[in-house]
Amino acid sequence: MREEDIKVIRAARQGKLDALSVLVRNYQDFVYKTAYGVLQNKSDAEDVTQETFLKVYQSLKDLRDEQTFPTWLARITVRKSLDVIERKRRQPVVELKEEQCDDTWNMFGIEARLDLDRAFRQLDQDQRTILVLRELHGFDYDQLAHVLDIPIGTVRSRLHHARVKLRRLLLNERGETLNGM
Amino acid sequence: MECKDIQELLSEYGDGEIAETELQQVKAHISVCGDCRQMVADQQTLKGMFQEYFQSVKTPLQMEQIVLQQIRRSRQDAQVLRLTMAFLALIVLITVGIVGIMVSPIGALVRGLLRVFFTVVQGGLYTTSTMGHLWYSVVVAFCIILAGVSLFGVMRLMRAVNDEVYL
Repeated sequence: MREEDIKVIRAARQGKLDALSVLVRNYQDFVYKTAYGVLQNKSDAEDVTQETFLKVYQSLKDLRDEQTFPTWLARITVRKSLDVIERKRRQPVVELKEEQCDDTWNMFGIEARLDLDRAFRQLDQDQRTILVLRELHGFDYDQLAHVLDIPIGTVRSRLHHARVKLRRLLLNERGETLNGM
Repeated sequence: MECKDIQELLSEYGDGEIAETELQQVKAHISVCGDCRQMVADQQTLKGMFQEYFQSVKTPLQMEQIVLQQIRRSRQDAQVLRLTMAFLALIVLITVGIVGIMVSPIGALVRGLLRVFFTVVQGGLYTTSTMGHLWYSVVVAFCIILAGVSLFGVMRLMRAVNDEVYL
């Protein structure tokens, strides 16, 4: 973690709103993309982003080691996202339309994105969560165990099963090999 | 080790999280097994796909403002709650204080002082009733002063709230 980030976290912990503003600016992508990865829904990801930073504002004083801020933040984001899934499970609502694409595609092919989107949605929430944390944020296995509050053996097996299932689903969509996607 | 056993280790192999003893076995196996080699390659492809997939997921432009707005609102709510609690505590304290004074020996003195106060007020009222139309002028002047003070108070309060919002 950069020294600059640590200073910002310390200032935000003292209740300084301008420091908190910098923190939100620096980590909003981290939180939003994690929430979107788990929930696969823009509106829910926005809600979780708001709730997560509100929690950060309220609980930052409890964070003892600034170096652990990313894992601490990921933990809050994941919990908030899983809360949304749980809430929806208890009060199911009719989704107006399935969100599959964003307006911005970069260089990533539309078909490849749709295939990954479809396959990713078929994973269960735990598998989506661990893949997002590993592939997007690059957390190591110890950090994953801490964020998800599971033994390291479970991290290994969950990642393995998630990847095997995702690969199988994509191969069903795309054919013999993933290369060229 | 068979393919099935090796494949269970490929995920951690690709992540660089495999134990040293197993690493050598996996390396030896994939050098001779095309299927397992392909699985490792697919895993790397998936990593790349993920990165690109999430690059296309964009955080809404107004997210930062929305989040900060909510934090400010929560901060204000907490402040209002603190002030309300302080106000209620003050009311309780004053009530307890008054009752305490009234039942104590000092109460007699306080009651005497109150009687003097009411007598002065009554005298004032009697005086104004003898003033005729001048009485209305006094009331109007008093109202104007009161309105002025209230307006000043409200403006100060609004300025304080604005300062809080634009912090």
